Amino acid sequence: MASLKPKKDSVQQFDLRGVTSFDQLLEKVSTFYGKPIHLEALGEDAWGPLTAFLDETPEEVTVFYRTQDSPQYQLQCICHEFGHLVLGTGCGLSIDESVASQVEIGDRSIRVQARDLRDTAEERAAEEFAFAVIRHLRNAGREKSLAAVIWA
Amino acid sequence: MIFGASPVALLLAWTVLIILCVLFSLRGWALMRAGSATLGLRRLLPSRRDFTIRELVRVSDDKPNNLSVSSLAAAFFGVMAILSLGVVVPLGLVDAMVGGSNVANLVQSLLTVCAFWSFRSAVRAFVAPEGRSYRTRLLIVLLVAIAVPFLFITDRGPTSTQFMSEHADQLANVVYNVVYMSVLAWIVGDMIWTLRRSARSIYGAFLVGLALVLLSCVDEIIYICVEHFWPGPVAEATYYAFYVLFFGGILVVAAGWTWVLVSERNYVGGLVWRARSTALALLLLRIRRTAMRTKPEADVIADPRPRAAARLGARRAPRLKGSKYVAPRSSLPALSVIPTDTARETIRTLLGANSEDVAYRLVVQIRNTATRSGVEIAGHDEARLTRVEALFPGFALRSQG
Repeated sequence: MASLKPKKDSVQQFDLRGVTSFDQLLEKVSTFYGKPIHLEALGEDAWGPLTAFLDETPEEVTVFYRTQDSPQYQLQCICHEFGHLVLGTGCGLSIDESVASQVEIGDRSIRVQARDLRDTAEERAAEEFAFAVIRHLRNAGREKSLAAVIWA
Repeated sequence: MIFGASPVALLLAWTVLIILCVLFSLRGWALMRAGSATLGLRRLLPSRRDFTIRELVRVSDDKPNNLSVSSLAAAFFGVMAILSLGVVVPLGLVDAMVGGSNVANLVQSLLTVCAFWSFRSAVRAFVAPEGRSYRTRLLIVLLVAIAVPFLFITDRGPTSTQFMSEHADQLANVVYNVVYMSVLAWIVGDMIWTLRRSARSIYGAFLVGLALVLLSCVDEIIYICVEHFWPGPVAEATYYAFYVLFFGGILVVAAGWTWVLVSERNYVGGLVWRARSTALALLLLRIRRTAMRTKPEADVIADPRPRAAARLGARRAPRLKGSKYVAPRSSLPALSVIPTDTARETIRTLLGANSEDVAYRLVVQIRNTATRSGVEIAGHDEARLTRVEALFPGFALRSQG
């Protein structure tokens, strides 16, 4: 596996304030990362332990997800890939070797990374990012509770 | 002794003290919990330190940190102010700790002002976050304004619970109390003004309690002026009225605060979620056991890329190559979304975290485990997962956005 290099010189905070829908989130991540992001559903059986993966070319990023999953699990997997982009983990010219055995790389791919359920620090970090985003999206539509805000 | 003369005031003070201690403990526990989960990114990020998700992702539209810190500070200063009255520790000891000569009286005043200032900041941050906020510099100026006339009071010792009435003949004492009570009245009045337009019924309790505190401030100003210029029965009546109004008002506010905590935290709903989580945890264990017994087959290839190919044209898009993939042994652990390093940590997470988040994490963990090991989830178990998932946003959110 190629070395993991941080994308940015310093840690930058990802600001989700004002984001209340997935479209806004997609735009926010795209702006943050600096490339357009496309989403692509794949409805086949060959996923194995993969649940989503991203393919990056010099111009764009495509996130693939499974059609057979529930909408909530799809969102979790997609946000997980967003987590890799935002947290800057596994960036640079890197093809994850565990993914390489399962994904045939495209002509112009410079990076392929997958939610392949390995229990590593970067996977957990991306997963925590997904939880935070989904919690935010869920709370965005709720009336604020005084107790929830002050004591939670 | 004031509390000896007024057992009602003593009872009120103890009640308020207990409530504030409970609120302070709950707030402190919540803050400790919030800061505990780090992401283990030390190896990956240039600053070489771990981060919490809260540091990296700003998710809220308001200022929860300011609010949380303000509410915690209000409870802390409130507890300290009541302790400094000599309710728990003898006043003589408290006074000796801060230098003697009734400096404890000044400390009480300053702590009380800090408590109300923090409470006001918490209320404003929630009710009117877009409104003006006063800087801490103003608080320091107000504290100094209270302290300066106190320093001009002569012959302050020995320690006394009736310091104010015993020195009512001194103009500096009158000024000290008038400034102190005016500052308190202004803070409380500002809170009443902030809450006046709110339609939420619980704020009615706050308004009643704050109105009583405001009345007590006015009563105290009347008392100290009357006692200084026209000592007599009127002064004595206003003297005792202060404690009932002041602690009665704080008790109503604290009771309202507790009611908010109990009613809006939805403890019954939380128990239902814990029950769901317990069932999900058992399901997770069952799936793990099944995964240990099952030997998964290699996946079969299929050709993907319906839309990617069209969008990318002649360029070849990435594709899954299932024919070359051999599924891992089913005993391999799946990506864990619940701490599993120690049983204690797992139990702490399951019990201490938000009950809905725990249920959602368990659903994700179940799906991770089933996917990783290739175990089929039974129909009735799938229905259970779907019921929990239905309360969370799904990818369909995109088309609704």
